[in-house]
Amino acid sequence: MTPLKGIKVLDLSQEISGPFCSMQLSDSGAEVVKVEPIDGDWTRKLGEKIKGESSLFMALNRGKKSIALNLQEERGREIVRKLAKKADVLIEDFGPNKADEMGIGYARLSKDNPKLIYCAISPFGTVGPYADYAASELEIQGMAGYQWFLGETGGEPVRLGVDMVGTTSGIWSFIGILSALFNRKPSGKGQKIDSSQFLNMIMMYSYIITAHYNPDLPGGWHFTGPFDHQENGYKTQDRALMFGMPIDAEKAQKGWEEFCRKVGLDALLEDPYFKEKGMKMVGIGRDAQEFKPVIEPALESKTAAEIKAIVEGVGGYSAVFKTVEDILGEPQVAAVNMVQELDHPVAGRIQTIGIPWKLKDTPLKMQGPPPTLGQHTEEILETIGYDTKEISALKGSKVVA
Amino acid sequence: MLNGVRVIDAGGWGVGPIACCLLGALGADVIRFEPPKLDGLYHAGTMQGGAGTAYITAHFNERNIVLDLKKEEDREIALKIVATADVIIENHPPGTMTKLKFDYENVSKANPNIIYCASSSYGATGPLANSPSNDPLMQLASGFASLNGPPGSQGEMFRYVASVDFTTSLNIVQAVLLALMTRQATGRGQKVEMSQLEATLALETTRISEYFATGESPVPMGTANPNIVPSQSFRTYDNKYINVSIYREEYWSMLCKALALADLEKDPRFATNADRVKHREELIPILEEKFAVEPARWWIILLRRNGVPVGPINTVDEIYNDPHIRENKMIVKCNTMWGPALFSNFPLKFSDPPQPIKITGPVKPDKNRKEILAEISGKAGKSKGKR
Repeated sequence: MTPLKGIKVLDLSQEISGPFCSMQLSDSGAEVVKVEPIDGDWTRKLGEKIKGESSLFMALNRGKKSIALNLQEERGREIVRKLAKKADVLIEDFGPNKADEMGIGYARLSKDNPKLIYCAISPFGTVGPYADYAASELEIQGMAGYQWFLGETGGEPVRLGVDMVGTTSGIWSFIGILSALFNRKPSGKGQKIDSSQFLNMIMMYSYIITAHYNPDLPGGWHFTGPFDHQENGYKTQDRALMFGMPIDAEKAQKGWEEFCRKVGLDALLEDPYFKEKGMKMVGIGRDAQEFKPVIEPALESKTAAEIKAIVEGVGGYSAVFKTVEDILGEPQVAAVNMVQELDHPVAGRIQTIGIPWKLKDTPLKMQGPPPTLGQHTEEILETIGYDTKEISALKGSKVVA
Repeated sequence: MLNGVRVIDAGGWGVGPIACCLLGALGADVIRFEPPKLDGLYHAGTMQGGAGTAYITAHFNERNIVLDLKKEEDREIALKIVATADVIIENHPPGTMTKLKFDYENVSKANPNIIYCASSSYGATGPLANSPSNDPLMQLASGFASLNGPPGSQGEMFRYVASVDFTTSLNIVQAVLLALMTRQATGRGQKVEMSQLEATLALETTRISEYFATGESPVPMGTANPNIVPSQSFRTYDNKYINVSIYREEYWSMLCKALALADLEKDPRFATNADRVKHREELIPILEEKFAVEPARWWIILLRRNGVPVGPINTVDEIYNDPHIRENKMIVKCNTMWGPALFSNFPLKFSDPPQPIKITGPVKPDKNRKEILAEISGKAGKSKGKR
């Protein structure tokens, strides 16, 4: 028993949010049909390639079937309407009103299939002055305040390196779709869900919105964060690392003195000020940043692992700035099954990031590799009654591929 | 959406509680088990009216009862409440719930069809299963932080927005919904496990795909994008920055027209995104020079009128005053016992029921003791739950 066994998903979206969402629905047991333009999802052209196949596309589309359709053509849209009649869930990211203009919007499709759950993902949603603006990952990170917490105050901006807007909007959409599916059982009714990337990111900003409105004093993590320095850790012989002394005052004093002796900062302890306050001047925040030039030279002759061992030996905490290669090589990642392999028809054996949720009695399983473009076009058309002749006619006039 | 589902917030700090609040926003009845000394987040970080603002943020849409699970008497009350519930969520350090005799084995005796969601730092198995962590440390340990920062750096920690924590909360909501769907079909509950590490790796999937293709770790790129050119911040005449991304081919000619750079549009070095990625170093200085001659506001108005993806870099004040956020009622004010507080509203819009999902501010610890005790003793009727 997988949670979404028997649920049919029709995904008309491209890029990250929609495909990430429908990939997670596939991992949960749903049957996902991915409708791509004749020349493919735009991400097929992006990023690094494995035997000509985009690694970015493959990271977002496992376990789906692909049909290539020309939606500029009425005959292509008719195919979408037929597929939507049998679908439980439809995902699209055409932008506000676009699907309605094409005759494949919620109003039209729900007439034939009132149980349909229709999820529209867009940068800004359908309501409000920005509804028609174009924006991608970076613009939304900036507008939703995420760049305010990176880089030096007043310096060059920095973005979050992960595609946070893309992936988490996929997650939000998944949450909306599952809630609507859960609700459909008793109500018997489908519905439309609007998932706005910008609004999704504002929800995830809630700690900051509360902290900055009515604080007792201008202080504390969530208040001072935006005005702090770039937190790039302490340089060592190899990887940078972050560390701090124990929280308990007595342990911190002892730990600090021991740490100083072990890294060769004994001289600091001769100064009563640093002996007494130094433990609070390492780690994260402004004081630590200002004190860093004093500490850092002592660490540069040691590896991050050596310093981590010293810090943890005196009861403190630390973490190394791990690269992707570092973390994926950890036995912990293998233990929780977060790197898996799939056999792709063109790219061969590929690696993919695993499923984060572990349902103990009904474990989830990936349904297969990402599809090649139009790999299942014929098979899918047959399910809605097209015969071989009709299919080759559609191919001939480039309505399908 | 989740009317009739009862959720127990037996978590601490941000990860578990935020997940519970979001389930509450979706219509679930959430009861928080508050420890007698109150949660750690109550006493930490930015303060308002004597409480941590993060605690205020992390406990909207909840009812509250103070229970000391170390005391047998309170544990029994807690088990009686759990017997009326559908879901329980905890995110304490590994072993905590076992020591309290409140792990799945114990709780499922009181309620065999409970969905018990345990969220940890590194996952339920493996050499690091028992290691505690937190948002900033997990950013570093998961590789997340190695992707932020100026080019050539070893990475940068994202300051205090708790994106790893929040992402984990969202993953808990996903896992709970999956378990609820399963239970709707089978009638059976189960234990569900997840972790910050697993949630964060899934979040990194697009960048990790670079490693799977090349065998080399992806690196921080400032504001630039490995796959799309241009997509980065540009400095403007007034020393501000704007973000511009040509994330679809059709935007390139729109940008060139808006900037009145006809030669650029015809230049074969920049014809397609693939060409522009190849000739990034030649193209970016041309655009930098152009954007430097007018103020940020100028470019934002001009590019938006031309349909080009563009945006400012906002601070929290600008977000609060943003007309789009206002019109969507995305920030709501609630009166709490710690004074008026602002909350982010639930972002998804459902057509049925069509009304916006409301955030109600958190309540005073132990405020709902009487009514909850009455409910479990049958005086106020049983939970409508068990969907």
